[in-house]
Amino acid sequence: MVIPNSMAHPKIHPAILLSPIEDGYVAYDPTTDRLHHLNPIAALLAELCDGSRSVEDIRNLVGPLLPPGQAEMVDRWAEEGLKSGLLIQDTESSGSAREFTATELADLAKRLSEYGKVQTAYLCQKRAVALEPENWDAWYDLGDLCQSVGKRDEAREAYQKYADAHQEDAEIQHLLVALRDDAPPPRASDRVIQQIYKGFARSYEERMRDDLEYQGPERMIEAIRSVIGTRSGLKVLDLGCGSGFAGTVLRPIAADLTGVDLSPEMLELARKRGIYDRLEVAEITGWLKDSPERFDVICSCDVLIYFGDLHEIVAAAASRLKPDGIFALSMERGERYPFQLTDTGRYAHHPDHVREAATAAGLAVGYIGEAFLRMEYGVPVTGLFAVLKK
Amino acid sequence: MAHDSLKSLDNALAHVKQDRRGFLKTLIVGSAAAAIPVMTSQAVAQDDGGDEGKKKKKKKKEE
Repeated sequence: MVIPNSMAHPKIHPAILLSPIEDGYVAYDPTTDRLHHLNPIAALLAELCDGSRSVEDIRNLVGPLLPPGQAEMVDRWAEEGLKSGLLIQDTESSGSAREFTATELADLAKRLSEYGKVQTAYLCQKRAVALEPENWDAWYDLGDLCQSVGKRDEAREAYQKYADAHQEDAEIQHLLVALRDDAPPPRASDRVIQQIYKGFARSYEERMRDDLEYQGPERMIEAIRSVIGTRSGLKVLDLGCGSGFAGTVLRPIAADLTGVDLSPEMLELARKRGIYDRLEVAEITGWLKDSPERFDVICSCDVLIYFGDLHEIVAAAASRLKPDGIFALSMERGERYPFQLTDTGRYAHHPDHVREAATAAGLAVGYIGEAFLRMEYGVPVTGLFAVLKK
Repeated sequence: MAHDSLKSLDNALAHVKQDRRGFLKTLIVGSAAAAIPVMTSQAVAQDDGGDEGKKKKKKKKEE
């Protein structure tokens, strides 16, 4: 290991990729897959470490900027830099560090984000869009990271940049309604839902179960059991069945299990489970209104997050229940009455709104309660679970 | 930042690439006075709860 002395001429290792970010520099070492984060004074030192001047020269330049008596911090920083591989002696290698390209920064941001380092990922992505401002997908990723680090206004601006170039993107337009605090539509449009799940289907199960610790179906069947007890052999409708998560907990109580969903991609996943007697691609409210069938159990698990006002869907479900039938539904629990469109583009409902929709549809509340639903940006999301009785 | 410090900063920045001077000056003037150099390092591919402990959200653009 090379220990510096005041006469050494340090420089940034030629393999290092450097980039300014809003609070200093990042320096990525691809040989060790390590990222160094430099504060502003350290960034100045890094710039001065170009192999042309000694540590003593650098100390003389930067020392006056440091607290009194702290000039030797320059030497210590250089030593740390050499140990970490950020710096080398000028005699060790020719060449010099180069700056990240926008693509390299965006790729690094993606990897950092995957490993939970969202603050650093955000800083890298912000620099990536500064370097390549007409890369609209990079703006989308920045918006995503802004939301991860709680920068709502910046997220809105980044998503807006993406949306300006992608007018056809229904999902982002819907998300912007929330981020602009515009009056929410009664529900997310079919196009929004189809678009979300077309892109999401491939990684849906892994993300929901592994990344987000999704527990909706387990809590849902507990709520249902609290009302129907041990009844089984029932005619069950999984409304908005998606990939069939809820179907796995509904199957044991069902003699006949039908799944309906708007997304063909998600229904294909459900089909592969082999647990449904019938699967149909359809918009759920319309399907309920058009269907002549009656069910013992209609279950809508984590589906009404795309609906604001619940009156119409609850009434439609009530009309398809057998005597003693139940409509079980789960949502995100909202604090605002009657409901709100959250910054994720999903609706969250107040329990009183569910009660009112039930009453209006002639249903009684058999159960209503709250439980952990899943994680979101590292924060637990509380679910609202209700079982309405005919 | 005191006048003398600003003068020292300009003196140091005179040795830095021209296209970095304005950026670094803004950063250093805007940061805490009399800061010392700090470098933090982390392995990128290490899921240690992250520097902020937050995971990605539900939906991710994959088209």
